[in-house]
Amino acid sequence: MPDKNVLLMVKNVSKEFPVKKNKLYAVSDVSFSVSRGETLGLVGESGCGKSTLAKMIAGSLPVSTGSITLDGVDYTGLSAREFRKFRRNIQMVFQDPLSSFSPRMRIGTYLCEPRINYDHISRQEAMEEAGVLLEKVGLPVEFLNRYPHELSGGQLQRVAIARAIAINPKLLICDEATGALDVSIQNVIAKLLVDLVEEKNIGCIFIGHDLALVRSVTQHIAIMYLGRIVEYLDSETLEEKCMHPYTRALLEAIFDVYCDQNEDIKLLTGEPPSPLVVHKGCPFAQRCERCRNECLENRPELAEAGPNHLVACFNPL
Amino acid sequence: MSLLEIKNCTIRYQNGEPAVSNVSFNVEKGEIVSLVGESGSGKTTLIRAILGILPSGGKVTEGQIILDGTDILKLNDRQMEAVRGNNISMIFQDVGASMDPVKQVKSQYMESILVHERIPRDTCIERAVSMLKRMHLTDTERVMNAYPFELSGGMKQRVGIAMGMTAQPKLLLADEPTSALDVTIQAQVVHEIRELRDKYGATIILVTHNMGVASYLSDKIGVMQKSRMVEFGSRDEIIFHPKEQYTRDLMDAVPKIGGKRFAR
Repeated sequence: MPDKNVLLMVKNVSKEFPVKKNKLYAVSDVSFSVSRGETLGLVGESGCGKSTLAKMIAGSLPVSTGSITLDGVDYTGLSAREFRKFRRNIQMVFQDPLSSFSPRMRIGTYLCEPRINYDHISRQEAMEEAGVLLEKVGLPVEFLNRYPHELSGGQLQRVAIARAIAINPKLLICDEATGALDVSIQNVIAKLLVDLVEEKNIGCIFIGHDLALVRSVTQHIAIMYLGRIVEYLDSETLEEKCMHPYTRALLEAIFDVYCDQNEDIKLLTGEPPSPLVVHKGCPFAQRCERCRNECLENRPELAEAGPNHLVACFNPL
Repeated sequence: MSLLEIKNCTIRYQNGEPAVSNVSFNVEKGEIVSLVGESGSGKTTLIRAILGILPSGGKVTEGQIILDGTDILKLNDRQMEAVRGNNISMIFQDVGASMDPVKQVKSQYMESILVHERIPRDTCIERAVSMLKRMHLTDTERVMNAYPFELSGGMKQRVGIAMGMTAQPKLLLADEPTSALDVTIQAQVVHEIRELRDKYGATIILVTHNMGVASYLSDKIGVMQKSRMVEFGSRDEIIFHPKEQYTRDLMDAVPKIGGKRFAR
């Protein structure tokens, strides 16, 4: 169903890595779409393949199978030369701002670089734009002459966002972009991102492990487990509508500030199974309370459970 | 008498601005006390001072740290060595990084015991195994023979806590022990820490930026901001009736399920 508003289409994307004689299945058969002005959250524990997926979408890692389409263009098969031009459409913001900056490059130079490289505008022109960008992300123009170490983590993350939007990308990918920041700064950055996505009408993928934070900045959330999406649903009604036992477990693992100290923690036992082994049944079965025979035998497919709601479970909540 | 008394402590690095200024609080036996605050507020500096492992240039310039009646700042290096491990031990944020990557867990574990006591090898291993079991690491054989890279983050963290608790120290310091872990594993480790206190009577000082974890575990909470302790009180006082605006702001900033959303 070709929807005009759909920006990014990810279709049956898989990624395997050869490991000695084995294969590691990092991402298996993942499909979803992101519309203009929409932020999609990707949530899962470490090793679930969310960063691999982000790298494939950003084009820095080739897909094993499947296709990724941005604005109707399938860019998984582009040559390196063609891709260099295409790359500007997708920009990334990373977790640790300080390590993604060159320590000896001034903020101004850093902000000018993409415009000079892609659009061949003059340095002076680029510098003027850089000043405007800084103001857009709420920083004073004087910062153009500063070095990265002179800025705080939150300020640097704003600069990273400013650079990402400098060349008007169609899609922004934030990989744990607020993970290294203090809670108060986290909220400011989250709000900035939401405003930018709305104002520029771009698509955004927000990767995180803090379900509460991801919920606050996204319209939809995809929960990943062992390389697969196990549930896709509206962020706003996450708590009421979630049906997958793993989503529920993630929600229960969050410690609420106003929690009751005498209440026992609901623990999810064990750890995710190794991605090196192909499992016959549901990958979550070993840790699942609601596991039935069927779950050990067959793998549940992602199926519609309601409007805007997909879930892969034989015995949902 | 309190187990630990920190009196008007000021800590400076190279005579600069104080990283901790004029902080005082007490920890009673069997309590879990959390220090919360943003990065750079001085909470890690403070607990490092208790263990006497401030980075070079760092010094407690004023005040006293009294453990069980002894001012540990007056001890010499040799005496302090005896305090560490026996009386106070510490769990770090990333236990994996504090382990030797080319040594099996067994030999590191034994080393940490043998530094303090001269006991036979067998007793040593027995003690380690029983401690690992307490931390709900059931496959102790595998864990003991594993190299750190063969264990998952949650397992390493538990090994770290087990190692810290083996000598049954009077005081356990935990510096962001769950921050590097996934949420479901974090819940498991929080559960182990709670059990250390409830079942084995451990006294714990926890440094964390996760207000939820602090709220679940603590008897008392100290809120730090820019080197000062702005508020210190019982968990219920701090969580439900905070006096300082800063504490309120900090609590509001924590994203909550069912809380406000920015996205439309």
